[in-house]
Amino acid sequence: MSENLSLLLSGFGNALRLENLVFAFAGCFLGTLVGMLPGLGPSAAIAILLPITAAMDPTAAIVMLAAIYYGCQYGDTITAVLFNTPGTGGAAMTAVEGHMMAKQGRAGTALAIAAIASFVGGTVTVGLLAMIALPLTSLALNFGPPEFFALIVLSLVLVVTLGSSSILRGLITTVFGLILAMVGTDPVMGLPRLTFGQMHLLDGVAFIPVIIGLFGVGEILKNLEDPTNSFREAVVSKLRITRDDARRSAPAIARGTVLGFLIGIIPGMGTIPAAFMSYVTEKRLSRTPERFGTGMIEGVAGPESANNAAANGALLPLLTLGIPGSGVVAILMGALMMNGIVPGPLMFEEQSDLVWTLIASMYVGNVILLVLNLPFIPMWVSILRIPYSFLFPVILGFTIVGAYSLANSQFDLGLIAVFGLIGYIMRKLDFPLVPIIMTLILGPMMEGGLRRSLEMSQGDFTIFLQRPITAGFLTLAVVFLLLPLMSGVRRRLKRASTPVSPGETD
Amino acid sequence: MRHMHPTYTITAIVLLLVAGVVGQQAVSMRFYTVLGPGAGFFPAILAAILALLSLGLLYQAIFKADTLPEIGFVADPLAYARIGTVLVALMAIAVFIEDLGFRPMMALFFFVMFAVLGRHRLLLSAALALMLTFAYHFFFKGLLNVPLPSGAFGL
Amino acid sequence: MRNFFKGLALAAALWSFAPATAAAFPDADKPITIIVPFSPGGTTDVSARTLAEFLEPELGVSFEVVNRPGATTQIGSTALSQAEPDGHTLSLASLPSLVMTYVDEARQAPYDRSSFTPIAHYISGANLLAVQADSPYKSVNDLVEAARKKPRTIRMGTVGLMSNGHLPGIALEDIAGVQFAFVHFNGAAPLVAALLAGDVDVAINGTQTTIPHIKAGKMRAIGFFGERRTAFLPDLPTLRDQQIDVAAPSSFAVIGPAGMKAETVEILSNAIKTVIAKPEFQDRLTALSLESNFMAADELEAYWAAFEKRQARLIELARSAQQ
Repeated sequence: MSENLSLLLSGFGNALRLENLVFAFAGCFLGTLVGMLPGLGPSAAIAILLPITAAMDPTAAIVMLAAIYYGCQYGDTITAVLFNTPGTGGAAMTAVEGHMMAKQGRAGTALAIAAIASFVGGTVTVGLLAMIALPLTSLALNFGPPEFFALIVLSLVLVVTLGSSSILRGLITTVFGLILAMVGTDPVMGLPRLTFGQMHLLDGVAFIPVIIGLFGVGEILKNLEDPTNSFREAVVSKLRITRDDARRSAPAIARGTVLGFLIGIIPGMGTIPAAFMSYVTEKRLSRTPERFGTGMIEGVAGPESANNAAANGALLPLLTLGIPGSGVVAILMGALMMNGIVPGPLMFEEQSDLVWTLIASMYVGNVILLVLNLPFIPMWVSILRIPYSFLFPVILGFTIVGAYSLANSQFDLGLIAVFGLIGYIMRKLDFPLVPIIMTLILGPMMEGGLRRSLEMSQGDFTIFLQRPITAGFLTLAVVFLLLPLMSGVRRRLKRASTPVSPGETD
Repeated sequence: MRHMHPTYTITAIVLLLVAGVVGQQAVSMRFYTVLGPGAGFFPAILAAILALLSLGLLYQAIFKADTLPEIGFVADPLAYARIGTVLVALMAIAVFIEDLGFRPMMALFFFVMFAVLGRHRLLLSAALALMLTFAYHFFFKGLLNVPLPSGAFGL
Repeated sequence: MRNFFKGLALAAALWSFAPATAAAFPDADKPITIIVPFSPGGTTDVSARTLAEFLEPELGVSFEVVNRPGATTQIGSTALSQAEPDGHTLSLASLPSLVMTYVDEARQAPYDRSSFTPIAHYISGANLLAVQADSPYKSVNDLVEAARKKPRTIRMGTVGLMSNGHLPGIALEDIAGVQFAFVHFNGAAPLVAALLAGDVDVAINGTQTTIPHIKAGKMRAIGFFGERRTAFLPDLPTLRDQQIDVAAPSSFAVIGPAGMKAETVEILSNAIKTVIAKPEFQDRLTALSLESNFMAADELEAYWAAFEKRQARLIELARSAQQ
C-alpha cells in the first residue's frame, strides 16, 4: 500500500509537469466540446485524434487521450440537459430529469450538480483504481457468461418494473426495444435475422443513431410544433444549489459512485447500464418515486456519478489484464498500442511509471474538468437565449455530422430520420423512451450470454444454479419481478387507470 | 366521455402488424436447438408478447378510451408541414450526401431550415447557411480531421 | 442515382479538361482513399494507417484512411466493389473475413472475388491455441486425445461464430475427427477473460492479445495455426510440426475494385514492395506484433483463390455441425 502511495506520488509529479498538464487541459477541453456534440462521443473523439497522438510522446499522448475520455463523459451532459439531446447512452438518464429541470429554469443547477457528481464519481474511483485495482481484478474475472446473463436478466426485470405513467405502454416500449435488439446476426447460427436483406442491419440496429434520433431529432420535431415559445422559460436560470438540492444529491452521488464502479469493472457492461441502474436505485429508494420524470435532482446526481465511475471502472480490466472493459476503452487500447505500449497483465509492473502517471493525471484531469466547467455553466445556459429558429438547425447539423462520422455511413443518417419520427410519435402518444435505449443494449447481451452459458454447459440449464453469483442475481430478478405483482398490483392498476395528460411525463 | 380513441387504435393496429411480421419471420428460424434456444426462440416469444400487449392497447383504446391521454393535436397544420420538411430534408441528406458532397448538401439543408422553418429572410438565410457550412467544414474536417464526403464534384 | 451523378461529374470533368489525355496514375491532385472495413484503433486500421503514412512520400500523393466498419467487412467491401477503378480507392482487406462474407450465401453480399483487383499481399498472421498455464494439455495432440475420449466436453473459446477463430477450430475437428464444445465470444477481450477465469479450456486467439499473458505466466500456447512459426513466439510449434495437417493463416492484402489498369496495379504493388522492404517500416510493424509477407498481384490472386476454396469447405462444415 505504501509502495503504491509513493508510486502514485511520483505519478503526480509526472502528471503535474507543465507539458502533461497542457495536454490534459487540451484533452479535457476537446473532450467536453466533442462530448457536447450529439453522436460524437468518446469513441469518435479518440479515433479522430489517434493519428495526432501517434506522433506524440507516449505519456503525453495517453494523458491527453484519457482526458478526452472523461471530458466526453461530462460534455454529453450539457446537451442532454439543455436540449434533451444526449450525445451518448450514458447521458440518456441525465436527460430525463435534467431536461425537465432546465424547463423549470434550473438548467444551471442541473449542470452544476452534474459537474460535481461527475467529479466525485471520477475522483473517488480513481482512488479505488489506485489502491485496490489488483484485488478487484479477480472480481472482474469471476464474471463469466452465466453471471453476465444473470445480471442482464436482473437489469431487464428492472426495466420492466421501472414503471411509467402507464404500465401497458411501458411494457410495449420494452418489448419493441427487445425486438429491435433481435435484428442482426443471430448468436446461434450466425445467420441474418430480421434484417430484410439489408446488410447495414447485419450488426444490428446501430445504437448511437437510434438515441440521436429518438431523443435529439424527436425533441426538435416536438419543439417545431410551436417554434416560437421553446426554451423561453428556461432562460431565467440560476446556478444556485440549495441546501435541499445538496441534501438530496449527496447520498445519490455516493450510491451512484459505488454502483457505477462495480458495474464498470465488469468487462462488457459499460456506462449505460451503470447510469440506468443508479437511476432505478434512486427511484426505488425515493420517498416520492412518482415524482421521477418531473425534474428530480437525484435523477441527475446519481446517474452522472455512476456514469463517470463506470467509465473509470472500465479501465481496471485494461490496466490489470489488458482486457478493454468497453468499446471506448478498446479504442483507447488501440491508441496505447500505436504508441508501442501493449496493455496486459504486466502493465502495472513493466509500465509502472506510465500507469501511475495515467492514474494521477486522471485525478488532475477531473480537477481541471471541474474548474473548467463550473465557470462556463452560465455560458452554456445562455445558449438557450438564442432564438430557437437559429438554434435548431445548428443542433440538427451536429447530429448529422455525428451520425455520419460514426461509421461514414449514409444508412445511419437514414436511421436518425426514421427514429426521429418514431421518437416524435412516442412523445405524442406518451410512450416512455428510456426502455428502448436499455433493451437495445441489453437484448443482445442477454441472448449472447445465454447462448455462451449453454455452449459452456452443452445445453445443461443447471449451470445457472451451480454458480453462486448467477443464482443470486437470478433470485433477485425473480423477487423484483414478483414484488410489484404481489403487493402493488392493485395499487398500480388504479394508478394506471387515472388519465395522464401528455407532456406531464416526457 | 369518448367512445373510441382513434390515435391509439391505429397505434395498436400498427403494433399488431409489427408483431405479425416479426412472428412470421421467427417461424422460419429454428425455435430450439440441442444447446438451447434457437435463433427464432426470442423473436417468436417477443412477437407473441407484443401481439398480446397491442391487443390490450386496442381494448383500452376502444372500450376504455378515457383512461388514455388525450393527444394534444396541433391545430396549426403548418406544424406538421414543418415536421415533414425536417424529416424529408434529413432523408435527402442521407441519400445524396455522398454523391453531392458534404458542403453543397449542408448549405442547402441549412438554407431550407432557416428560410422555410425559421422564416428568416432569404438573404439572411443564405448567408447563415454558407457561414455555418463553412464553419462545420472547417471545424470537423480542418481541425478534427473527420472524413466528410466530398461527392462527385469534389466539394 | 449514383451513376447519374457520376456521369454528370464525368461530363463536367471532360468539359473542363477536354484536350488533356487520360491522366497517368497517380493523379497528384487527388488523394488515394484506403477503405478500412473495421473500426478505428483495431489491427487492420493501425496497419492501414502505417502503410498509408509510408506510401504517401513514396507515391507523392496524399492518402486518406476512411473507416467503414460493420457486418464483418461487408459494408466496406461493398463500398470498394462499387468504387471507381482508377487506383484512387483501395482497401485493406482481411482475406478470411472478406471471403467469408461472399462465400456464405445467407449474407447476400453483392460481390465475389471477381469484383476486386488483387494488388499486393501485405501482412500474414495466424491464430494460436492457448490454455491456462496449469492446464493438463501440453500439446495439441493432448487436446485432441482428450476430445476423442469425451466428445463435446473440451470447451474451446473463439472470437466469434463463423469468425477466423472458429473456422480453424472446425479444420482441426475435421482433420483429427473429434468434436469440441465451441463457445463463441464477441471479440478477443471477453475470450481472454474467459480463458483466464477458466470458463473455457482452450482458446483460439491471436498472438497480439495472447503474448502479454504468456509473458505474465498465466497462459501457455500449445500450437500455432500458421504455415510457418511466428517470429514473436519462435518456440511455439505449428500444428503441422505436431503432425496435424492444419494451417489457417490470416492475411491482410491491399485490393482495389475490379477493372483496374495493369500499370496502375504495378505502380501500387511496387510501391508497397519498396515500403515493406524499409527497415524503419519493419520496426513499426514489429512494435505492433505484425509480420509482413509481400506477394505481388498475380501471386496474391492464386493465393486468394486457393484460400477461398479451403474457407468455403470450412464454412460448409461449420454450418452442418450446427444442424
